[in-house]
Amino acid sequence: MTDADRDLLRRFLDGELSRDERAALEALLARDAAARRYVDDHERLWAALGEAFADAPGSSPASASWRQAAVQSARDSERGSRSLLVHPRWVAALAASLLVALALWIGWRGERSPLRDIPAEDQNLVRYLHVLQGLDTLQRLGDEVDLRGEFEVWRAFEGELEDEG
Amino acid sequence: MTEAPDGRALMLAVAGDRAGAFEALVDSYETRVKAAVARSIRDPSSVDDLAQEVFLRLFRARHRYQPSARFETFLYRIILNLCINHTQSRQRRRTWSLDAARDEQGTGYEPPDPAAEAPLEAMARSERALAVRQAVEQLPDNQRQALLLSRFEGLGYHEIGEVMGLSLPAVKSLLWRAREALRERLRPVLGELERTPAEAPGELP
Repeated sequence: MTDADRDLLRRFLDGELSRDERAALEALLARDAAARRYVDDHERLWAALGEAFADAPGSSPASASWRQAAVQSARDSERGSRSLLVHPRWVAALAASLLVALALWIGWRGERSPLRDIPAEDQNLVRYLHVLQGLDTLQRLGDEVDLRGEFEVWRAFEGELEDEG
Repeated sequence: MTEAPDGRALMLAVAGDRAGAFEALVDSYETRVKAAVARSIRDPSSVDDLAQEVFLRLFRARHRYQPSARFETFLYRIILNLCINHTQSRQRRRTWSLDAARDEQGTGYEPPDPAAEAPLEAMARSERALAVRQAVEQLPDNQRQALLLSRFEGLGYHEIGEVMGLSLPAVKSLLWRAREALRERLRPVLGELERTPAEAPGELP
């Protein structure tokens, strides 16, 4: 058997043979005993498979109650997911309401703010006063560190200065 | 189920939420789905639950169904995914138990009722069936799935490829290797079948 013959046989066994190829297959089977044996083997194998799986194990016979349960569970699952879908809508509505309320509150608070009587250019200065105070603190700390450094340098050279003195 | 239902039309009716369509789909495909699940998993007690899950997923996915695809391809993809997930989660959970011991011995398969046959013939038949089932179960998962889809669901290369997410050459190769492995393992069983008077291969189907 050639590779082409084998391929022809395989496609026949897999049910993939076209009508045109059928004649070629029949000619092959007529002239080649090995090809016939191969097909016979396959047919026995296919029959054995059919016999072995004839009654699918574990599969209950078709029943009205099973069908009813299958349909019901599918519909219930959808009802369940639909009721779940309602919740995000409620949550979204609630979130939107909270946002509106927050915006209104901020606006109201702004109107009541002690800054409202200060000129606009000074409002930022007052608003960020705590930042400026923080920067001042940092500056003071930095100055202290510098001073301490200078003091240590002065002490390191203290003896030499005394010698010179 | 005697005649093949028009799965595509049924599924489109389900997708259109037509009254009674889903019931008709379940009615038409119950036996086929249960049989496909039963062949695919090694746990017979889960067949009904998994088959129910298949229909549940079909129902949920109804609006995503593309009528350009063959309904059976769509259906078997769902079955295959569920069965693979089930097998994997079962393997993860697997602990030593009486169930596991029983599964390893006999795969839970009950042979056909031997009362109707001669005792020796019935015994030979059930032994053969058991040997074939065990040989199939020993195949690697992808070979076994491809073989079952080809032999029992009547799917072609292209459809098997769609269901399993494989290329055409990969499907051909899987089927070839599965068939060769089974031929090798079942040589004694197949030889026995040769000796029993059966329908002659004769004409090509």
